Amino acid sequence: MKTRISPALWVLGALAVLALAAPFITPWSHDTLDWEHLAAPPQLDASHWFGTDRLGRDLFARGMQALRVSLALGLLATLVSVGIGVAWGATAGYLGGRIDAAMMRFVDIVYALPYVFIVIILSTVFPRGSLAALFIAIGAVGWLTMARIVRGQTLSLRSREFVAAAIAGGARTPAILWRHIFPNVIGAVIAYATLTIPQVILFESFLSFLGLGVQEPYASLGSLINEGAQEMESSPWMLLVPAGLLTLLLIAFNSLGDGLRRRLAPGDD
Amino acid sequence: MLAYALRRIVGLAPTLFVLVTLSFFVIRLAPGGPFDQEQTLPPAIRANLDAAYGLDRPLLVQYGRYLAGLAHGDLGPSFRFKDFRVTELIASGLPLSLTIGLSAAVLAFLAGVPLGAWAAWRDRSRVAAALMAFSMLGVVLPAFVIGPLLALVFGIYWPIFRVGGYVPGDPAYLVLPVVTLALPVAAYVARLTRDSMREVLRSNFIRTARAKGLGSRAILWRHALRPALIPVVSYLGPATAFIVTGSLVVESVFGLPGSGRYLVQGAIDRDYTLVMGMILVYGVFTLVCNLVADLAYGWLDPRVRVGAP
Amino acid sequence: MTEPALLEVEGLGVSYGDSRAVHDVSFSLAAGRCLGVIGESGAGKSQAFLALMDLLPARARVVGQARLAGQSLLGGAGAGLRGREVAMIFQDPLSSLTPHMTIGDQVAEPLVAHRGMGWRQARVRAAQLLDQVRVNDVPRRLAQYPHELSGGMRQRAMIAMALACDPKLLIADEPTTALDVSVQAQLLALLRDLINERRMALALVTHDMGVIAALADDVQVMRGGSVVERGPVRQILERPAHDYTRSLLAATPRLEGAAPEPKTSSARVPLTVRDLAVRFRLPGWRRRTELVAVDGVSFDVAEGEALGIVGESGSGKSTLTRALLRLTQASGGDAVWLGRSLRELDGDALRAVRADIQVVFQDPFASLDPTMSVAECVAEPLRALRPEMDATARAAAVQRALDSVGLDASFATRRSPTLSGGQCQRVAIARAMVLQPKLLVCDEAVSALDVSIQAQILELLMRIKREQGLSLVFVSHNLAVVRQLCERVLVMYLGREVESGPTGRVFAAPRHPYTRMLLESVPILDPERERARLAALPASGDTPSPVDRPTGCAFRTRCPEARPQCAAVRPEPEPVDNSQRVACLRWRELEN
Repeated sequence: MKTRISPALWVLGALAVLALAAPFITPWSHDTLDWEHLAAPPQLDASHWFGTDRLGRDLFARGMQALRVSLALGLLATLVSVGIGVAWGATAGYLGGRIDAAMMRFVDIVYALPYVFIVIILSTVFPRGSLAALFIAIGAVGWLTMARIVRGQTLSLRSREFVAAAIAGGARTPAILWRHIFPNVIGAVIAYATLTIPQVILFESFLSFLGLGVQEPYASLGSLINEGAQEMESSPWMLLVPAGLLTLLLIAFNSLGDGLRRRLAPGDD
Repeated sequence: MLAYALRRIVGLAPTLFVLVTLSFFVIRLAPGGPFDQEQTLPPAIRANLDAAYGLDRPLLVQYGRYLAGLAHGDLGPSFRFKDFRVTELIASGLPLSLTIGLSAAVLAFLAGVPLGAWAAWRDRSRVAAALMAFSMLGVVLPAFVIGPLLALVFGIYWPIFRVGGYVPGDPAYLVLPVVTLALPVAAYVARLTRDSMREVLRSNFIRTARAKGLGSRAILWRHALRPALIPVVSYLGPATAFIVTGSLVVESVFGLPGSGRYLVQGAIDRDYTLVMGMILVYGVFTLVCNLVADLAYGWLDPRVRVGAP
Repeated sequence: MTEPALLEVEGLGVSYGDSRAVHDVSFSLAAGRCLGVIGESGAGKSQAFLALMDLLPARARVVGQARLAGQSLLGGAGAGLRGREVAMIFQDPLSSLTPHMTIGDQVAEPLVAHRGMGWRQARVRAAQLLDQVRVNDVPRRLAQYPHELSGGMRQRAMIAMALACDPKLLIADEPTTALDVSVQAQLLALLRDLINERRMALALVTHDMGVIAALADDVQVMRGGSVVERGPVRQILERPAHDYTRSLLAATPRLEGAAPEPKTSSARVPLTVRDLAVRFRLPGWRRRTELVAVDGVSFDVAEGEALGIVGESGSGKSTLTRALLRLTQASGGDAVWLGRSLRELDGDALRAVRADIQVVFQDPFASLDPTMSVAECVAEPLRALRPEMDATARAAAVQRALDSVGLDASFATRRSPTLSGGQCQRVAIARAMVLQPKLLVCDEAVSALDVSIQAQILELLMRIKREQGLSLVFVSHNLAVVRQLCERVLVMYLGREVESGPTGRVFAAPRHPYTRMLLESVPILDPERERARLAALPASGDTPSPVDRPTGCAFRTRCPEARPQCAAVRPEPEPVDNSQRVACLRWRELEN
């Protein structure tokens, strides 16, 4: 099987490298104020390549910092989602019967509720700016689809003859889960995990937009977009820079995930 | 069909009950109360306030009283906006929110389904590829990015539609918000329809329809469309949830006096009854939409209705 | 042949890029005659006719000429003829019918589309057509959906749909492959009558020589995309010229020849099954809440002997094997293996017994984990049940097992997606045999294989049985295969034993009406006898659903010998002599 590095992967790699290397490239940090260049458009002098915001903070530095936050959050929260989702889905799928029905009914109910409810409820429980709340809120939403996918795959695998043959051959349940179920689901898991990352990043941006996400002086792409939306008549770059970065990030992840899904998990929901 | 519908409707009640109960208790468990944000009050006055609003009673009693109130259609008084009952507050903004939300949902499906079906029928053509690229964009861009961008382009640079400062009854103010809300859903629906339709067009019964010598229109409309719509209809429920979420953003970005702001503000202010009221209203709306989706699904697939062996 | 040709095909070829699916196929077919095209999978027979109907995917390239009554068929010209002058029916009626349209509407549709009828008028005509294809209870069927009908009914509805506009040519692509053998016989008889009544031409694609004998006037044998032999049906069946045709005929199992004889009564009997029952609770609040899949079955399997379990869909034979293997929970009765009750064993004790009893399933591809190599698949039971073996000993055992099924060492590292059906099944057998079990359960183990591969695997099983003194429980719907392999047979219907005994004797003189019906449904490879048989076949309907089991004797709804007492009393298996049993209230009367 040929592995072709998709363009999406190149883009993501470039963005990641840029984000990580940014502190060494730009002289500005994300919270230094440049009194001489308040709300300045993108320019070469003073190294404000992406311009500055209302308080004189360099948008390149802030944008890259926000990118780091988004990437880190995306990867970590996705890991949590994948963990919960796979465990939940595999258990429901393998045990079947009433346990499966109950577990998936729970998923259905939560899936049908708007994210906002969970967010609101969580935001009232945890103090603002708490990263724990952020993680939980995001994790609470991201694992649902993964659980559905894994459960579906496990269910169909369980009734395949090679599982029956393994049982007839004396294999125990843990061995079957590990040697048969897991390797056959891993493909779909990777594909959907890659598709979960942009959802998670999007959700975090949405929370920041509402004022519930990453707090000052740190920025996330969502909070930058929020600020930029307020200043867009006078300083459109304040909106376009974070919006552009977010869009690029999301498109790249979605492309990659889509491609992986076609290869590794065809014929899925 | 009737039995199926009734079963589904009856199934709503427990979900709603769970929602109300869960929200009630979780919110009450949060640190801070509705009166904590005020300037520090003397304990006596504070005690009086608590008593007046029933906050000094045990939690279960408060829960019982709330449920009793619900039975009368009374959502309680707002703790923050002290002269208003929650029902009045929500009612003031709900019509607008509902209008925007429903219009967006209808627009999304009316636009997304035909586009997706057409892209599937003309599979492998350049138009189909362009369509899918465009829809990828729609899926990826969130409402809070599209909203401001659209506002920038159509409201400021090229003022066709109105942005900011709402005049009731003037549709020009509603176009951009509705489009912003509808776009991601339409894009996703288009992809969903196209993937589903492509699968259906490859199936055996379509081959039989072709073997019968039927024209493309008959094949598409009578044979392919209903099965292809099944995953799309299943998405209707989550789509509504998405639109409800998005309407918060849209109302904020375009400065529209809908009911969305009450939810967020209420949570921040610990205005229990207001938040509960909002959750209830949006919850019912979402569940009803899920019900419509379920019923539509039953109509589309007779195997669900009549019971496959 | 003095009749003018209705269909003329010259030099037909279908290719996908570099690979050719059909190459230089030419034939002609006259009205009122049937052309049988036989071949195994990959022969290109379906592809050729799909090309004639213009139903191939866009990337297929079609060359050649084809004319129906003078009108050209290929190159888009035939679009106007589809559904009108030429119609096609397919193999799987469930997936080939639109699930959300009623049967009535689907049958009426061609009339609306091509004859300009209104829907109401068309539905009336549809009812007549359904009657002509011998669908029962027509008014009810018109309003039903495909999934509510049985397989046989669905296929009849498909035929009715195809006949709506009185086509001159009907193409049938494996029309009876997915159906029970008793239903197949009825459908073949129906097709024969339709050809005669309507003077219609029939092009029949199949892999089954029996179907060819039943219907075809002329035969074309295809392999690898080309025609290797053609001729009238008698000639092909009695004096085949090409080696491939000969091998196909040789590989087709028949009901003639000597059947294996059961061992003497002094042989050991390691497996005894008594009153085994499996019941499932149905979900929901339906009136009938229980599905009885297996309703109290008893049998013995002697050492070194094969017991064939035959039955059609709904007979419960597969569920029985799963209960035997403890893959499904039995609801009653017991199976005793070497003196130990299988139902009572659990955990490690059960696993220890598993080494003795192994299984081979029907679907060769689904039997192997696609992420594991052949060696890993075969080694798995060793890992589970022989943990004391080290890697070297395991590898040696795997190698021995692969050798015994005729696979050389190069197969060890391959994975199932790269193997053919026959090779996968060999691996499955190797895996089953690696623990040197004493009993092998085969659940339709050869049913999904091409006829020539089937013969090879049967050979393999017979050899293993002979060399290792293996006992077999061989489940199949194919009586000829069972006759070849098994000393004893157990016939099941709707979960119950209907008849049992030494295979040769039961098949030679069946006592139960169902066994008789099954045997009569097996196609004979002699065209004249076959057609006479079909003409004399009584109509006998379909198997009722196990949820709707008739009271008393389960077979009475289809039994030509049923009497009132058959509805009241459930017949239990009675001994006929010391080795045969039959479960019929009237068997003694019927013998005379």
